[in-house]
Amino acid sequence: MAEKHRKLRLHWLGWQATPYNDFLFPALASDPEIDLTVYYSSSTLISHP
Amino acid sequence: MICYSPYVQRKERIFVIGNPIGEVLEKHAESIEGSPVLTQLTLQPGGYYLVTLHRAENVDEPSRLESLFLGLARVAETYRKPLVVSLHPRTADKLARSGLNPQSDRICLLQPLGFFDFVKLERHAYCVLSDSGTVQEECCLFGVPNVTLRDVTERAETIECGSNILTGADPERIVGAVKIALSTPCRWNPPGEYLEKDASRTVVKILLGYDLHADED
Repeated sequence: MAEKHRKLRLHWLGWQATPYNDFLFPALASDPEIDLTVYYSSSTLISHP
Repeated sequence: MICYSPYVQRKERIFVIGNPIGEVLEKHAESIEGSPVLTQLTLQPGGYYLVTLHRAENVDEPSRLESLFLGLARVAETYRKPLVVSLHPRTADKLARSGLNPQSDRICLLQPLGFFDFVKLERHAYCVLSDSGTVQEECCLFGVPNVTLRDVTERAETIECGSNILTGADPERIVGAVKIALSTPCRWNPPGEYLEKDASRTVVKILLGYDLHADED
């Protein structure tokens, strides 16, 4: 019987969406070993900075 | 804890992975340079100042906000270049409430800009004046003179490498800081952690590696 595989569940808390995570989150989410959920406290995309 | 800067106090479970800013700017470079914002605003590369102000410490107190805008007006008039302000909603609200108006026709207040437009303006500015944190990092990488309109900064590495000058809200100090920033060559070396090109993959590796030992804790 195959050993049950356990994924790393990662909960990331953020203030709001930002372009500075444009490459970090896809890198995390695309790894099959990681189950990523991102939470924002604000739904609006702010201007920069 | 995953940190961007070696200035953090290293302890167990703290990993310094470098700053993701270099990776973000490099991978978004085409979109940034593709922004038509200079044409839209009829600005020439190197022909304008870029300004942001948004921190509560700067904009919530009317007298400090007035002092900052007086300093900006003096910069605009001293160097006779347009001064473009990407106006944060918080700052716009405080200006409206206090009845303050820019005291120079060269100051242009803009609606908040998106990331690509803003960074394009930043990349080609004559000098950037800001109270933003990431702006200090970006100017350091772009080789653009930067004056930080604050009394303190968390980006001490930008001061130490010579890309950034810290000033307060005093108008004369702002003018003086701009003079220094513009009179010295932009030949600083960005801190090594700013040049990290693959911080994202480093974070993935650290998390997966840490998870291997999670059951041992």
